[in-house]
Amino acid sequence: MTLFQVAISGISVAETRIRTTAHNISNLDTPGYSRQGVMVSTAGSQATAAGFIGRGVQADAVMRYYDQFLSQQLQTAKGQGAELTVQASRLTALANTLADRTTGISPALNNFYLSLNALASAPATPAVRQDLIGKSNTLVSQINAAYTQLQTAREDMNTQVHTAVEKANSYLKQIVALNQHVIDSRAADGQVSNDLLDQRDQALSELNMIIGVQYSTQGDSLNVALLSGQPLIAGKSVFELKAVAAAADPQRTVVAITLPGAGGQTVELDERQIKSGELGGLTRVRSEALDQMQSRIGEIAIGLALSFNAVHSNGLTPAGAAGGAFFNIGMPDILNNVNNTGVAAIMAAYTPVGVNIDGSSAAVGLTGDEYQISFIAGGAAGIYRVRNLTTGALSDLAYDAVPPNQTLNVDGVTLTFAGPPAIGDTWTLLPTRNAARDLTMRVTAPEQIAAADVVGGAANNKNALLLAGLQNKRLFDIGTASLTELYAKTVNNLGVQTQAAKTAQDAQAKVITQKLSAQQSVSGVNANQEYASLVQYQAMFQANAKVIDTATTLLDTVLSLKS
Amino acid sequence: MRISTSQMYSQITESLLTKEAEYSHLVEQMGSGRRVLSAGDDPLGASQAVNVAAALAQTTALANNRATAKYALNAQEDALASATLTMQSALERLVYAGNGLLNDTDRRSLATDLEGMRDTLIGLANSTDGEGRYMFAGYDNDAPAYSLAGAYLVHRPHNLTAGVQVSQDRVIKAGVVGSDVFNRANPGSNTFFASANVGNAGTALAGTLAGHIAIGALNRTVVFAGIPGALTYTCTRSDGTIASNNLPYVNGADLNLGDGLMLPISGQPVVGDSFAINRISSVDPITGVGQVNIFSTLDKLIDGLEIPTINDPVALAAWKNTLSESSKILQNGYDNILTVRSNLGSTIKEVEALDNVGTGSALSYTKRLSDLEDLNMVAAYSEMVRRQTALQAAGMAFKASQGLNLFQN
Repeated sequence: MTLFQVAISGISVAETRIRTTAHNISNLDTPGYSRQGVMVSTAGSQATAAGFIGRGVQADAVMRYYDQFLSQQLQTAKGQGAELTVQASRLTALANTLADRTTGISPALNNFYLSLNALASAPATPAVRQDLIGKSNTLVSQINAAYTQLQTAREDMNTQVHTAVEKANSYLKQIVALNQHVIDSRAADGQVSNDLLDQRDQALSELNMIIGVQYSTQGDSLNVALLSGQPLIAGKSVFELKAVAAAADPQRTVVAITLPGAGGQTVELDERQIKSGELGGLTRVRSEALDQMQSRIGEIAIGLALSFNAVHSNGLTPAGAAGGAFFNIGMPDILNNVNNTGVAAIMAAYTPVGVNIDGSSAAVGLTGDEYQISFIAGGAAGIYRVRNLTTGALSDLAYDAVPPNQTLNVDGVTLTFAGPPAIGDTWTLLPTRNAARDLTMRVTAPEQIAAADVVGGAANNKNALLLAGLQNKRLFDIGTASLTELYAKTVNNLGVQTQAAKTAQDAQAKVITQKLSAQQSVSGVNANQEYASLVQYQAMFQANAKVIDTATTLLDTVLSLKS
Repeated sequence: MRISTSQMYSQITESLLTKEAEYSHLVEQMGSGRRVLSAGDDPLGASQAVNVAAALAQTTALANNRATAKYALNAQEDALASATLTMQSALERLVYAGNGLLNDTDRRSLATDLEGMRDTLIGLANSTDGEGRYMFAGYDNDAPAYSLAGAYLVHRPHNLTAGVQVSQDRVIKAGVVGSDVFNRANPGSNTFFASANVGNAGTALAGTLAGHIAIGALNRTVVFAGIPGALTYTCTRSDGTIASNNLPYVNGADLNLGDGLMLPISGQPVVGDSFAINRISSVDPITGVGQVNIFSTLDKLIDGLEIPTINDPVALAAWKNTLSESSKILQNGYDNILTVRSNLGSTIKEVEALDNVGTGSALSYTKRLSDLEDLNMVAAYSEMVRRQTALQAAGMAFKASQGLNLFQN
């Protein structure tokens, strides 16, 4: 082993180190990059009579600074962060559009009652009647507009689910491809490229930001599953995600998985299985805020219409005709699960609201909740099971085995089954989900307003007084709230959720910063440190070059002696 | 602890962005003057604001209602103040008409006077509000309350006045219907009055009924019988029972009509002459026709004044009976108008009192709304200065950190 060889081993290692440092510097800002370093050891020694003389240095491996525990913690934190970010931004948008008391339903409701009071004070004045028509139109269009805003948000979320699923699939494919690269790399070189591992970790992290996952390694391969345990990548099998319309509610785009293989079957994932990540956030906002909001606004629309219509149809117009309904409403939504096998044709209608002895409206039975109805037992002891999806409460209603029609009453909605269902059939009852869309005015001309009671007369305002009196009547939510209070409750509910999501988002941002700092303290690239390394390794290079210089001088000296 | 360069930069950027976002939220708050920009800022405050704003809007509605009610009540009160003056003049004219020395010309000019007063009163009863609606016509205020001749009464199927919601839990009648003013007996009157039969051929004059009248005493008729010089009278109640039978008539003495009713009669009745003694009431219980009707009573007087009485003691007696009967009815009608006015006055007072309460609660709701939503500008300004400093400091930190990069040296 010559002096030259020792020096060259040093130069070679210095160069490897400089190149690795250069790689670090050039990836200073690459997402998912872990700082790399060169592991070196002495190249051993040579025995001489005088003892062992070293043979220089050798580079053993280029390794990455990586801590699996810290990386995993960061990944989990970022997944939850992504969920909370989606939640907070969606909720903030909802709160901004609906919850301002100076715009939207709240002032429209106040103006409507102002106009009704004016009608009650001056029932015969045409201008006052015209004003009520105008104010009612405004109220109806504000309720319709609130529905449209919520529905737009819903469609927007459906689109976002589609996009997120596509992104998730592309990361799944990347991970599978990288798994293969890693295996190939090991087979070809006996080693695995650090950059490949970084890329795979990064793809996993991005996937986790879309939908929460857990993973395990199997040899060089990475297996991925949902937090619920549902596998997404198992060996070479991939369970691709798919955005599909829910079987129970086609308005809702949900996540399904496709079983591997050609023509693989699609299985809808229970929304509760989707935790963390963008999809987790979307799912939660939809089921915990949007559904409720939309049903609440619908409850306000139907509550207003049913109570108002009850009183109005009891009154007389100036011409002495019966008042009839003031507002037109649609029907409650009852959705047949696509997997139902029975033949039960089912119809849903709002249970009519009557009037009290004094002519005022009776209470409205609606709750603003949503329900799932399942037929769980047939025959003489048949049972329909009603699950309140909002509160989780369960109740059983008896099945009437005698044809033709079976009627069920579920919180303000009357369901009529024509024909027998099959056991296991389910229906989703959304009493007021789309009700705000269908609210329209039936009364369109001032002379159709029934301000008079049964006595009649142009200046008779008895009925108008009752209509105006609805403002303070607690007829809704099982007799606990007036319409205004119902709206205030909705605002409060949305506000609380928004505030909670924002607070959680802020807290999570701090958690992510902490986890990132911990992870970066191991894997991050510090430019100043790399600068120092450059200087250090340059000096090492120069020192080894100096050894060659010395060796040359020594050799020259020997050669000159000979001549 | 190692710090990675990219994290250092992203942390500084993050903190700049956060501070800018906070600053812009504050600017938005200051621009709008509102503390709660969205329900998420203060869920409880935002939902309370919805309720308080509704309550505030309701106080406005109630104030509007009260203004409408006051307008209607005052308009009726104004009309009835004029009616009171006209009735006073009419009653004065009746005192003058009772003067037996009037000749037929005087009586005719008196009739003309009364005609004018009757027309004034009809005009007042049919007075309209600013929108041309008849204020005494109740629910049917698109048509006059009274016709201009005949029985004066228009068939009013809905003889009721509209109630107005003047406070959360108080509905008042915003006015009265004509039938409660111009053809109603003063509530609580228990008087009877005597009407001579139009066919009376004698000169009997009925005086004012006296005595302790039994509660629930029925209307009745007294008829004279017997032979001239020895007349008797018999009084029959409206249910056909006899109250006093065949008692001798003494000129100038009280007739005992049973149930405590004593009627002084003077003059010379003839056999078959009769007087009806009826309780003053809005509607005659037997015929169903209104007894107390200011307009038709005035008409009866006007008609009576048109009939000459000079040298005709029978006609004079008939006129005097008409005058005394009509005076009683008009006096009762006058009292009734005063009663109505007093009710209107107290209703107006009540509405005004509620106005004060309403103004107070509107102020307190406005204050509450402001407390819930409005920004404290002084606090916000000092907060803004503080945030400006923080923002500047973050910017400085960014600049300073650039100097720490060895590659730049």
